[in-house]
Amino acid sequence: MNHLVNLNFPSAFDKSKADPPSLVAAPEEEDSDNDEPLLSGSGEVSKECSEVELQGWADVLAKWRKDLNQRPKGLAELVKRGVPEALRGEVWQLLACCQDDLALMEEYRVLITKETPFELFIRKDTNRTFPANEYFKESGSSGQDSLYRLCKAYSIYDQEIGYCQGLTFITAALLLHMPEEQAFCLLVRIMHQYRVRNLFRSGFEELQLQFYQLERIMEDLIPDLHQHFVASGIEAHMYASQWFLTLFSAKFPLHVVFYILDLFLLQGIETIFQVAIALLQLSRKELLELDFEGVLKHFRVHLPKRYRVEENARILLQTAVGVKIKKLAKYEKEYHATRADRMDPVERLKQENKKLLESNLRLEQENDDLSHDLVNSKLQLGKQLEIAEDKADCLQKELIVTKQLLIDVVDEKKRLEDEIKQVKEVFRKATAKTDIDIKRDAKIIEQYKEICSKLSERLEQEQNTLTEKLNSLQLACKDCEKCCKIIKKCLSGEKDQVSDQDADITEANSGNAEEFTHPLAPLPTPSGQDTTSMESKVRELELELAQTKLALVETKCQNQELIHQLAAAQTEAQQAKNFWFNKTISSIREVAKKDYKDKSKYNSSVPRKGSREFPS
Amino acid sequence: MEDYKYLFKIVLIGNAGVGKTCLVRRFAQGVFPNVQGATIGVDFMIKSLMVNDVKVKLQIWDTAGQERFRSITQSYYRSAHCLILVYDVFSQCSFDSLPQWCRDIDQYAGAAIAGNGRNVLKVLVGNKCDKDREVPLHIAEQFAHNNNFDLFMETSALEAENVEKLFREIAEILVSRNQESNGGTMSRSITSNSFNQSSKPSNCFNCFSN
Repeated sequence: MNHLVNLNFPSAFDKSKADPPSLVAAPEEEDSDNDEPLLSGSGEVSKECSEVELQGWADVLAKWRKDLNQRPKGLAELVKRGVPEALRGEVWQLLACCQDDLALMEEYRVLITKETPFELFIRKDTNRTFPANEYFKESGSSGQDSLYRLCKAYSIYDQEIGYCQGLTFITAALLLHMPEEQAFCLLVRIMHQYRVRNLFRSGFEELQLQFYQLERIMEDLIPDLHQHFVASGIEAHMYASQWFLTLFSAKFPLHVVFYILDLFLLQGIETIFQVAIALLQLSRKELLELDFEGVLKHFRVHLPKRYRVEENARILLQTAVGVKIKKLAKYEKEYHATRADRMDPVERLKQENKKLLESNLRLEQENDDLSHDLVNSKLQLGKQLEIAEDKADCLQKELIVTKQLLIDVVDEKKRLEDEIKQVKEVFRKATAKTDIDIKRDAKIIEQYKEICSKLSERLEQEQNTLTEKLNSLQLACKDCEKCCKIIKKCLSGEKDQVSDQDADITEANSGNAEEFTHPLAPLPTPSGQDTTSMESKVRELELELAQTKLALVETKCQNQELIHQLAAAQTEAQQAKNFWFNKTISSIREVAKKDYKDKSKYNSSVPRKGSREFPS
Repeated sequence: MEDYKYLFKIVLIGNAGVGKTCLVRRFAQGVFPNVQGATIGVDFMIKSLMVNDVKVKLQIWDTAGQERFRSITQSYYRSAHCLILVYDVFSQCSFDSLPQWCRDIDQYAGAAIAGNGRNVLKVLVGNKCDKDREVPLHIAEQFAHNNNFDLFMETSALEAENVEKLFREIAEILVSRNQESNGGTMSRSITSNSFNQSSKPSNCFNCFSN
């Protein structure tokens, strides 16, 4: 067992003299010589996970989410034991650093609307990928549809590779753990960053290199098996094509596929070699006993079947992790050197030429694409510029209009201000005039009152003197019977008839003038004259009062008219709809109102006073 | 080691999804898989049969159909005794690709064998003849004739029609050819399998000249 010295098996095995752990016999392997190979996508994946392990993952994930760029300590150890099925979707994306690539997801949504020349091939292959899995089993199921869209999107995204048979298997494995868009991002990472697409490029050249590397590593690590294969004419491309091109996803049960993807996303392409070597190591004894046909049949049928047992899958994983892959770079150089040696110089130059032509073509294509982009972006920018210019023109016009409007408004403002001034002036004048009128009226009323009081005084005086005279007359006429009678008659008569009586007396007096000298004879004329003059004076005063009242009414009317004018001015100001004008106007209005109130107070108070004192 | 007199290598080629794998599995295992996953790279199956009391072993290489895999599968042409070019009678597209396949055969199989003065046995097969056809029989026959196919047959892997017959006829032709040229001796060295692109023309063809 010396050839195993280089292997570093997990601690459970003795490093130096360990035989690979023996696998558990798969149930159907023993009892029948069934040639039926395993369908792709077969097997149940256990969702069970110990609490200790889950706790470990919880701690690691918590650290990881804080700093996505830094893989936390202890992660590798956990992944190497297999990622719990429930966490795979997230952990895979974290491992590949492709969580939340929104731009790529958006691109995916655009890509699925486009057409691909590979449509027919993709349709054919999605119908026969993972037929053993419930999600992909039915044709026309959502699983197959998603798979179709994803492969189609990738074929457009990566024009150089397009669609390649084998891609559906990896893609289906991803789709079982995450939504389409995320699966697309992860697929892009696997193809580009993990360099899987290189395997498909230019006639699988890198795949051939990897076959060479695998055989050389096999020679180092499992020399007897390598020897056996060489003797039987078994070459890596006969059994390892689908291992490499599908990352073991086409033939193996799903739990194995997922374990391998766990490891692959952790460490990259090296994992493929580790798993391949581990598979060979674990089947070494059987393979050594089989001939050419037996070996190939073993790879095709029995090998995948034996890993249906979960325990065997774990052993495979542990073995693979322990495999040390060395000298990959050295073998690469060797491969290129031997190829060049073996090749006819003309052939080599032809190939080089072909390569150069290809890269030239590619560069030209890129150049075309770029110039196309350039023209497009120029056109777009031109359009944008036009739009911007149009907009600028529009805004310029609008600015001019607005300026004009501003000027108009300023004019209007000035005009209104002037008007307000005028209105104010008119009001002021009207107020002043009304003030003067009121003063004059007040003076007139004062004079009138004075005259009235003088008149009533005089009237009283006259009455007193008359009463005195009458008394003296009565006294003087006591002796004359006739006169006494008349006087008595007069005094007992109504006072209204005093003047008549006086007239009668006068007549009587005049009739009796010859008989005796009448004491009152010289008097009657002046008293009659007095009354008439006073009456006329009263009438005069009444007239004057009426005139004053008329003037008052006129003033009121004038006042009303002014209020009316004010209201008109206000409406006009409101029409201007300019708030600062309004403000000014309202302030003016307030002032005017105040004025008006004062005035109307005056106007209303005066006539009331008059009417109270002079109930005419 | 089994006891057989002849070992012939047969390589199946043709567009993806025409039913190459199903054809092989029907012949080698007698089954028709409901769902057959795409072949990635190559697959290998073996079947022995008796031709005129002589045990013949057919080593059948089933290749990936997608065009880009040709760079891998072409390396298998060189050592093949027989190339079966398969198309789908239900798919005009698969028939239209035949000229390209013929060019590949001439380029990769023809040259290697021409050196031995013998051409590889070229067989044209229209599979899925249980379905409605898009490719008329006489057109295919004409094509087979014009392109120097040694044998043309329509088969149905689903209904096992002509499958056994196809491989039996191939075996018979190969046996008779071999008997003509070698007087009935066939070296066991034919079991050595070498398909590496860089290898010299396979030793199995050296045995023809023995």
